[in-house]
Amino acid sequence: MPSALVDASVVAAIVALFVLLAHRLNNPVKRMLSGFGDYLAWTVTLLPLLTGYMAYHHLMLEYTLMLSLHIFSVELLLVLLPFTKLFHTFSVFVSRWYNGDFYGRKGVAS
Amino acid sequence: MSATLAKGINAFKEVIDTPIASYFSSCVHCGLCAEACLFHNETGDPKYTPIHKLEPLRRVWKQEYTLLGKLGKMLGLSKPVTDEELTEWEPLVYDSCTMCGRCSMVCPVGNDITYMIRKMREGMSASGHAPEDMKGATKRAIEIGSPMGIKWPAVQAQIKHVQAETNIEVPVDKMGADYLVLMSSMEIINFPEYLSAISRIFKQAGVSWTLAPDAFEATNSGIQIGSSDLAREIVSRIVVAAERLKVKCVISPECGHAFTAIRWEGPNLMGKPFGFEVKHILEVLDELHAAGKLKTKGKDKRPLTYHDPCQITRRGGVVEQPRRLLGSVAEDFREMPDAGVMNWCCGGGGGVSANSRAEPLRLEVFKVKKRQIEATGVHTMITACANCRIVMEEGLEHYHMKVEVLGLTELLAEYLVEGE
Ligand code: SF4
Ligand code: SF4
Repeated sequence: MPSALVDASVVAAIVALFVLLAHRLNNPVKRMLSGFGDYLAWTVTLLPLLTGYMAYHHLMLEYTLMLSLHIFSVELLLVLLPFTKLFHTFSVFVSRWYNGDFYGRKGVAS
Repeated sequence: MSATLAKGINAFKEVIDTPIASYFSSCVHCGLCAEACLFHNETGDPKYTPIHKLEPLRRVWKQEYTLLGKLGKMLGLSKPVTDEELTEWEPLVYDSCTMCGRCSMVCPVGNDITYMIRKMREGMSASGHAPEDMKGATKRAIEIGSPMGIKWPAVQAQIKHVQAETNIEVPVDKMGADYLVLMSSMEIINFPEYLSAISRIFKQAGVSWTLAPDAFEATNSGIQIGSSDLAREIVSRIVVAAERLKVKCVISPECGHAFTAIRWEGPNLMGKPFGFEVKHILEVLDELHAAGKLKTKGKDKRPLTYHDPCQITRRGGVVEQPRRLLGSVAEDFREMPDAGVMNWCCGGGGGVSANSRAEPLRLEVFKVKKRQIEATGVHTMITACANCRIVMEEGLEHYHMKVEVLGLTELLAEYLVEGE
């Protein structure tokens, strides 16, 4: 992939994450429902993007240090992924099958 | 049976089945269910968010059935569910949930939140945290046979009245009839038109049917308050009568939750499939209509709209039947916005109408129905649930709206071709 494209998508993703956080904090229903897990998932999703971007553009810290932070944050994401809501990336398929089977048997809308 | 916190917590543990556990762990805290719920939508108060109404049950799930939760409990990090908390939650679980099923439709991860609330009520009633009015209604349903305290003689009086008016014999305890007809207390007290309409339509269509003195009441307070034992006892009366009379089909009346109770929960409560079918009266009428046995003449000139009762449409799957039936007698039928499976609740389902404490809130959330009706511009609304009908009549009166509410069965009877 051309690096300009990668760069642009990273920026878009970071902006989107902040918009989502602002929404979560401003919407009274979402704020009430949100717990530690939700903010943790947000943070570990953001960190790899942020550190990667900063390392690539040689911002703030020295390149090798930033790169190692970047690699560390990716590892953190992978470690925490199964324990947070991020696991939905995979479980969505099982869950569609499970719920579909359940509702299919019921035969009505809800 | 005395109710205690320990019993309630035990009931919570028991109702957490695989679907409920997976629903809790799937919830992504998106809050979309809030927008689907009339109580949140009309008040804007976040505490009415459907999934939030389940918070005590969620904590029990977390503390008892998840690794992290168990660990937290062992280390004394999580706070246990207390009596005070359940007292605080009682109005959320009962007064502000009509079990309308709208939230279950929008949840992006497919959580049937309505099912969870139904199950949570098991623990609420076991711990003594059910509304007093609903306890009374359930007690009457068990001891007297009907939540409103109606006995068979009241039905007999109505039968006599209907027979005098229509000259048609109302069959009682007829062995081997095809259909066993049930009624709801509301109909017996407030809407005698229903029995008379059924008698005329069935006579004309040549349907063999019967009433049963030991099973005339279709409603089920056990389901609303959340007590499966009592719900089973109430359902079993119908099962016993249907088996005794050897009927082929039991007809659920113009009542929403009665249909849910018999058609959907019934066999699960009894732990076996029924040896007879269960149909809603609208399904039966639609079949008769399709078979050419329900003939009508003329059309109603008034602009009409139809209110879909939640348990019949959204949670019951009877969507097209009322529209086909109305199509045969209405000249100017208008759908309200969100009609059909996403219709808004009247505000009185799930036992809310039986709970006087909930009345101010119920009238407040009726605003959504008011807007829906106003959008159609009609002055006559048809429905197929006696409870919706009473609740809407009260709401309409409260907001000084000149709208008449009618049952679909009686509307059809008005245009029935008789004596051919
Ligand atoms: S079932 Fe209906 S009333 Fe109850 S929480 Fe869901 S949307 Fe609200
Ligand atoms: S809509 Fe579903 S996933 Fe979203 S907060 Fe409600 S229950 Fe949770």
